[in-house]
Amino acid sequence: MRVRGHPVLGEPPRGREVTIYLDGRPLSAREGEPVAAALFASGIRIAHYTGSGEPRGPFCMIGRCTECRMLLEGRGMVLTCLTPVEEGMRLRTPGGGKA
Amino acid sequence: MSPDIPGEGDLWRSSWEAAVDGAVAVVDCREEIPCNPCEEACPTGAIRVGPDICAAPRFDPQACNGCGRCVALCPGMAVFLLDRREKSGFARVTVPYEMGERPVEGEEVQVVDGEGKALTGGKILKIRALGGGAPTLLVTVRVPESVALKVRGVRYRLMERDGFREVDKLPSLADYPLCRCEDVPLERVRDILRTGLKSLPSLRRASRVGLGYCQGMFCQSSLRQELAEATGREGEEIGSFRVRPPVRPVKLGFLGGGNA
Ligand code: SF4
Ligand code: SF4
Ligand code: FES
Repeated sequence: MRVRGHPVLGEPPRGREVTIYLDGRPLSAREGEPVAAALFASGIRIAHYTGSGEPRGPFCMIGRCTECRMLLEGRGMVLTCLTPVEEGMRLRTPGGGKA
Repeated sequence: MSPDIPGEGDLWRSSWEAAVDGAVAVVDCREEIPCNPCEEACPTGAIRVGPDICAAPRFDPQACNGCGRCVALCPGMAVFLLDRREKSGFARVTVPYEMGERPVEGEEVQVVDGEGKALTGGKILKIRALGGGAPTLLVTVRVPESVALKVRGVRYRLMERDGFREVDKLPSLADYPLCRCEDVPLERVRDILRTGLKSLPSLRRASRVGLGYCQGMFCQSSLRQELAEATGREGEEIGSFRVRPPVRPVKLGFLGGGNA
């Protein structure tokens, strides 16, 4: 889901449509939007799992809470709310037996 | 000047007193978050955050002209205007409004506190937009002075349309994750406190609260509060985790000039 016609923010800027990969699965995203926003738009809300297997997802959206962290190939752990989408990014969901 | 300031008024005594002459900002921003649009919004320098962007804003009501730019531009909706010039037991409160449905001047609305709880009814006196990149509407309502400092918003028509839904069951407090990064429930912290541990650094090491990715930015205040309650001490005696720049977690490679 993307928010359209927000009463304060208006229309979101439209970046070029690109493909990113989450745990190997291709997803469409807009270049330049935050990775967290692109994942939300594809219905993905879980960024990682804690040690005890609890799911965690973006919370503060300003790079403070670190709940949105994911593994980005070539860069290690990143805060997805602050990381702009680039063509071909490969993300992994840490924890949950996946990484 | 009224010596009785309702509610948490003491925090905002200077705004409360200045408001007898007209609209003045009340800044309800207490968390130390990396944020300063209020400072940039203010044409008179009445609100200052300063070079440490995480500092809570300082406010000088004498310098404030009541323009409301800070109200419109604070992303946390943490500023409102108070105007007590009527001196009739009623005050005018101006709050930011960002919902889709546009309110109408002259209407009666419900005013709500910071938790969304209804306080009372109030009449909308004025609605304005500042323009210039600040689409947030400023809604001025007239309310009894006794609740004026508690008002944080207006609930427009929602009551008639949807009715109220109560949350029937909150998860138990014991399971509440006090530290989300390291996955530490509140009850675990209390268990450790029962062993008699008294200092913040040792509590941090024993519980791992504050040692995760957020480096204590989210959990530190909760941990300090638990320690204060368990030991009957004040926050100042407890101290805090050592704060080191940068504000956000940054990779060592980046600090070393690499690309991270
Ligand atoms: S109301 Fe205007 S003058 Fe007063 S603090 Fe806000 S921006 Fe500054
Ligand atoms: S803009 Fe609002 S939230 Fe940000 S520092 Fe100023 S008062 Fe606080
Ligand atoms: S959502 Fe809080 S750091 Fe990204």
